[in-house]
Parts: sequence; structure tokens; C-alpha cells
Amino acid sequence: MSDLLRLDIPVRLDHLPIATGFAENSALAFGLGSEEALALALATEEIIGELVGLASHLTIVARNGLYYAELDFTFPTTPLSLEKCNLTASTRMTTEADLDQIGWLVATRSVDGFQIQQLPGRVTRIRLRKNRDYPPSEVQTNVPMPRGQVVDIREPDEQELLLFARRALEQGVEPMYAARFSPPQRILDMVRSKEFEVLLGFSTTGDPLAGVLLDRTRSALAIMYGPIGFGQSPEVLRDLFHAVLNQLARTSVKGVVTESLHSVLPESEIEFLGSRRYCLPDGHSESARTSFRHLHDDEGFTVWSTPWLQDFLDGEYRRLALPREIHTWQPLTAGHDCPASVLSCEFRKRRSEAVLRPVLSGGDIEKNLRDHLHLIENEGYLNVTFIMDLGESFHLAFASALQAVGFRPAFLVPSAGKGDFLLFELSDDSHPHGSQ
Amino acid sequence: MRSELLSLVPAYIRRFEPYIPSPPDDVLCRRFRVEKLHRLNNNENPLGPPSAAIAALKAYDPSNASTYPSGDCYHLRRSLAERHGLSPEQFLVGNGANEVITFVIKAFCEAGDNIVTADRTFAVYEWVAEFSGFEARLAPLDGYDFDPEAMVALRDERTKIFFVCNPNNPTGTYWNEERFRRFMADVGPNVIVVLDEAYAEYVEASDFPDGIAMTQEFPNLVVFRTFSKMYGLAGLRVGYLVGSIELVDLMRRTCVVYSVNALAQVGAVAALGDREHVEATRRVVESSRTYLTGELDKMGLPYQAGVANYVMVKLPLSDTIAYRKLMTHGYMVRSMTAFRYPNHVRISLAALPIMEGLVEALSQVLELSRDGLERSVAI
Repeated sequence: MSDLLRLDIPVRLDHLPIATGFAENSALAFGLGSEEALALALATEEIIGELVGLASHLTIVARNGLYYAELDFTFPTTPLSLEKCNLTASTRMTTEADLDQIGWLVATRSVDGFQIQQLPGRVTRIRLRKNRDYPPSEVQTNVPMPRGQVVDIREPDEQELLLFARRALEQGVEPMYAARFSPPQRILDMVRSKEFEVLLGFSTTGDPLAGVLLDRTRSALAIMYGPIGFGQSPEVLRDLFHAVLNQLARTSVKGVVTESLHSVLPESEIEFLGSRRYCLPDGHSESARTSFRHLHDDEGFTVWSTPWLQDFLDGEYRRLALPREIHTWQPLTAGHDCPASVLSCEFRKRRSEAVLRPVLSGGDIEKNLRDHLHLIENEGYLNVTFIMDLGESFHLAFASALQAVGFRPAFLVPSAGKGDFLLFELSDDSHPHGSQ
Repeated sequence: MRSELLSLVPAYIRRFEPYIPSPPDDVLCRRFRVEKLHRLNNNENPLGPPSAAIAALKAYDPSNASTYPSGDCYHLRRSLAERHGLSPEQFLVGNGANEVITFVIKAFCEAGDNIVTADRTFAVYEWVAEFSGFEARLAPLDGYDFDPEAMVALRDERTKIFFVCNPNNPTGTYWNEERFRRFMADVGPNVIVVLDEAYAEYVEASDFPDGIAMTQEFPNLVVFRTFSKMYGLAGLRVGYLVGSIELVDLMRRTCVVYSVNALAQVGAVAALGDREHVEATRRVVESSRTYLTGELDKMGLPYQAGVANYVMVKLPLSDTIAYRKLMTHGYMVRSMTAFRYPNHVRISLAALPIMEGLVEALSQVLELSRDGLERSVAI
């Protein structure tokens, strides 16, 4: 069995069973259950329905991520298809009442991850992800943690990893980490897929007493969960962190990012970038801290700004001692080349978060943003993030509209894209679910 | 890139991350808002090129630039041979030592082979092997030293080359002659051993092995030297290897001639004869080392000084933060995370006034960071 399966078909309704059959059977072949496989088939049906008339041919690639199955739909971008790739657009929508039935939206409801992106070479990609269901694992709480001192840090075998994941849940690590370890069987597949790496600290008797999880799915940044120490000393946490740095040295990774409710490492080791508030389904909210460690020397580059962002960027670049040549972006005086802007929207169901990114600047940015926010609110997502790449000048065209609809800059993530990423969050009074 | 084009690229190239050198000084000065930048990151000679080399470079007739240089550095190889009492055929010159690393790997490795070196040493052995499609096996250092037993333990039937950096960059430690002989005996005659002596001219210790002389004794030994460090010609890019005539003949087959330009050859020949420059450089480096290590002691910062022209310092903060903050003071050091030494920086030893400025800047950076050092919340 291959980890990648591929189907090239004309986009026609009479070929729909071929596409849905491919989606369903791929998922089944990858070991997903019949319900998950059917959900992918249903989402595929909606996507093909939206693409009729927008694309003549389509490639579908199914990928086995072990703990999920993923479908990539790629097709050449045309001006019409680009505009219609806004989540708020539909080729089939005729009235406002149809908003709820936009194919993209129906597709998002069936799956766990949804993303529309423009790729280099004028190719559009729609990515669906469906997570594998794992049998629930009974985890006891308040189990005493074995005592001991960490004397060895290394990658665990599968039994050691399972034991550590179970301990992480038993000991009640913070929710942002716990989600990654639950259920413990899932983390085995995450590591087997090579998308995640784990380093554990062991006692003299080989007992795993501390650990750290790394998400290696991005080439420029590694996302770190931990270090998780269960009361181990700050020195052990630092040693685990240094083991992570050694593991990532001489790779493509430029930096390590971590998001957590509490700081576990001093700022001398990892720089505080900023905080973001996450709304929870129970009506409460929590503030997560994001921190960053460079792996390479940051020798600087050019970024773009607007007068609204200038003070924020000046302050942050000074605070972080990041060498940047800041150029001011100027709007086109002759108007936009394209009347319609395009936004990419990614849904992260586990975090109840929608992530917006600019794809194309146009004359309707503010309206497009408002439409997206309206739709995101209707879908029940509690958190909205807008990510701007300051190395892409056209992204700055979205700044004034972001300000107008109530976004505010939250923090920078250095070297995350062509330039630095600037993350925006909605201010309290603009939040879809009000002030928390 | 189109997937059809991408499919042409071997997997080991696709996963390899290109090394991006630092921008030129004028760009860095503008970005970090400093007027002058002191580069203490590349272990260059603080005194610059020898005066004999400067004179030879000045005397070079620019009209000769229209003709190709000697394709195999004819005069330079003879000067080197005379200097070391060997045959010119035992020398192969490249565009810096980086190029001679490729000569060796290309000559001896084929698909499925591997090389063995240390995990915390000059990165280019590992890089060239990896982007050529060969496995680089990395033995952990023993403290700050190359660990001969750990290296031998990584050997299998497909191991073609051992790379030993002596003195090691960045730790400055070295194997003495006895230890090196033991290693040669342990690995035996059926594998290539490269002894990289880029910093050998800085070492005055009597037990430091003379690798070049030992090539007469060990037919499987290859020694690297460079004109970029002691001889102050880093900008001209000249490095060379030494080995038995038979080995060098094999490596010549992988060497694209004409890679060393005419000016570089002229400068290198002249530099070889300037003994005073070597002595003067050693004195400057020694006094800077004494000063810097004394100041580091006062600051309570652990360091590894070694025998070459650099000192590795352990900081109580991230080396990449320290790098950026020192740059805002006009001092460029080498952060060591990429060498697998988190929170360490390597500082090249320069003239005393520059080292005094660096110490002042480092003190300020540490003072400003003190607040951060004390913030720690355990989960």
C-alpha cells in the first residue's frame, strides 16, 4: 500500500462517483473507519459540486498520515476560480438564504481540517483532513508520579512513549499539551508518521520522568509542546530544551515556537513574543503565551508596514533586537488590478479556531473580511486569527480593513514565512462571541 | 517549482538546507544601526595578510587577468613541497579547504557509503557528504574532545573516510601525537583518515602531531591545510591537501582544475615565506586569549579556550539572542546552536582594543538580560 494515491479526472458531475469512491476507498485503505471514510466522500462531493465550471481538470491526492487521512484537490487557478475560492463564495448560491449551503462550508462540517490555498505556479489547492478515530483510553487521575532524577535524554521506544503519554494525562498537564497526548495510542501514530518527534528524560532505572513533543510538519519552524517536567528541576527542563535544539541543529528549521498557558523556561532561553486569548466552549477564556527561539543567526531582511502598524512594529523589533529594514507600503493610486480580494480560511476544529490569510488583494477587502467573519461566527468558531506575512507587500493592503473590522496586532513570529508573520486577533468588542 | 522538475532532484538534495552566508558589512551595519562592525565570527587573522603577500598582490600585473592561472597551482605546489620536504605531486590545491573536502569525498565514496566525524565540529564534512548522497555518521564529543573510540564504533564495511579536525573547531582541543597514532592503529590501513589542520599553525605545543610529515608513514592519511587562517588570505580562498602520491593521484581525478585564481596563487606563495607574520600573529592571539579569559573569569562565564585563535564561551542566555544584541554594539560573534552547543558563542581572538570593546558590549548584554535570567516558572 502506498502512502500517496492519486486520481486525475475531468471536473464533471457524471464523474462524481469516481471522485467520491476514490476518497472513501482511500480512507478505508489507510485504515480509517467507515464513518470517517464516508465523511471524506461527502466533503468531496461538495467540493466537486463547487468546482464544476471553475476547473476543467482536477488532481486528487490522498495521503495516509497514519493518525489522519488527507485529500488534496489541486487545479489550475483562473480569475474566476480564484474569486470563487473565497469561503463565502459559491457557484451555486443564488440567494442570501443559500449562505448556509455553500459547498465549501458543507465540506468543512464533515472534516476536521479544511484549507484553501494558492500555490506557486497559479495552482489552487483545497486540503481536507479527517482524523482517525481511536478507541477511548481510560486514564486515571491523581496517580502518584514515580520519584527519580533525569539522567538520560533520548528518543523513546513505543512502550516508553505510551507510558509517558499516559502519565502526561494522569498528571494533568495543561490543556494545550494534553490534547496532543490524548488518547495515548494516537501519539504513537503521530511519531510513526515522522511528523512529530519526542524526546524523553529517563531516570537511572529507565523510567520516563519528563519529555517534550515536537511538531515537525513545517520546514521553517518547529512547534514545541513542553518541556513537561512533572516537578523536575528547571535544569532538567533546560536540558530537555537543549536536546531539542541539538536535534534541530543543521536542519531547515529556523526557529522553535511554543505556545503555553505558563512559561516553563526562562526568557533567557526562549523569547516571549506575546499572548493571545483563546475562548473556550464553556464561555471562559484563557491567555496563551507564545515564545520563540532562533536556531540561526538573524541577520535581518526587509519587511513592509503601514502607518497603523508602524509603532507596534518599531516597538516589537526594538524589544526583540531583530534587525529589520521597514518599508512603508503604499496603496495603488490607480485602483486595484482585481475588483475582488481573496482570503484563505483554515478551520482548526480542535481549537475552535479559524485562521485567515491574504491570497489576493482587491477592491472589496473590508466587505470580504466582514463576510468571512460573519460566516465564521455562524459556523460557531470561537477564535479568529489573521496572519499577515510582512515579507509580502500585498498583504499590507489588508491592514486598514483589519483595523476597520476590529482586529489588532497581537505579536510577531520571526522568520516564519517570506518575512516575519504578524498575527492579529479580534479586539474584545469585535469578537464574534463578545467580551469574555 | 513544478512537480515534474522537482522529481528530477534527488531526495538528499531536496532535504538539504542551503547555507546562507551573512550579508556584507555595509548591509549588516545598516540593519543593526551601527557604524562599524568587528567580525569576530570567522577566526580570521587579526593582523591581516603577511606583508610579503601584500607586496606580491600589489605587484601583480592586472593585465595578466586575461589569461588563465596555472591550472594546478604549479609554483604554489612546489613552494609547499619545498617547505615540507615532500614531492609536489603530494599536494592538491583547491578554492579554500572547503573544495578539497569535496575532492576527498568524491574520490572515495559511492552510493551506500558513509563517512564518520564528530557531532560538534566543522560542519562542512557533514554537509558535503549529505548533499552528495552519503551518510554522515556523527560521534558525540567526549567532553570537548574528539572521541576516537566513539568514532571507531560507528564504522562499518561501508565507512570510507574518518574526518578529524585537529585542533577541533569550535572547541580548540587537539589530539596529541600519541593519541593520533593510537587512532591510526585502531582504524588500520583500509580506510581514509583526513586530519584537518586548518588551525595547526597556531599550535605551539610540542606534542601536537605533524600530520604532513606523518603522511609519509601512513599511506591512508590525508591532511588539510588552509591559507585562510594563519596566512590571512581568507578572501582569496586557497586551501590544500597533502597525502601519498598514490592517494593524491586518485583525488586529482575529482578535481576540476583552474579553481584557484592567479592572484590567490601569487599571494599564497609569498605568504608561505613570511615566518615573522606567523610569530607576530601568535603573540597577538596569545595576549588576546589571556586578556579575554581573564575577563571571562571575572564575569563568571565558563569558557573553552583551546589552542587556536578562538574561544568558546558559555552564556547564561540564548546564543542567538546574544548574537543579535552584540551586533547592535558592532560585534559579530558565532552563535553555536548550529554547532550543537546551545547558549555558547565562539569568539575569534583579535587585537586587544577590539577585545576590550567586545568585553564591554558583552557585559552590557548580560546586564540587560539579568532580569530575564531570573524569570522562571516551573510547571
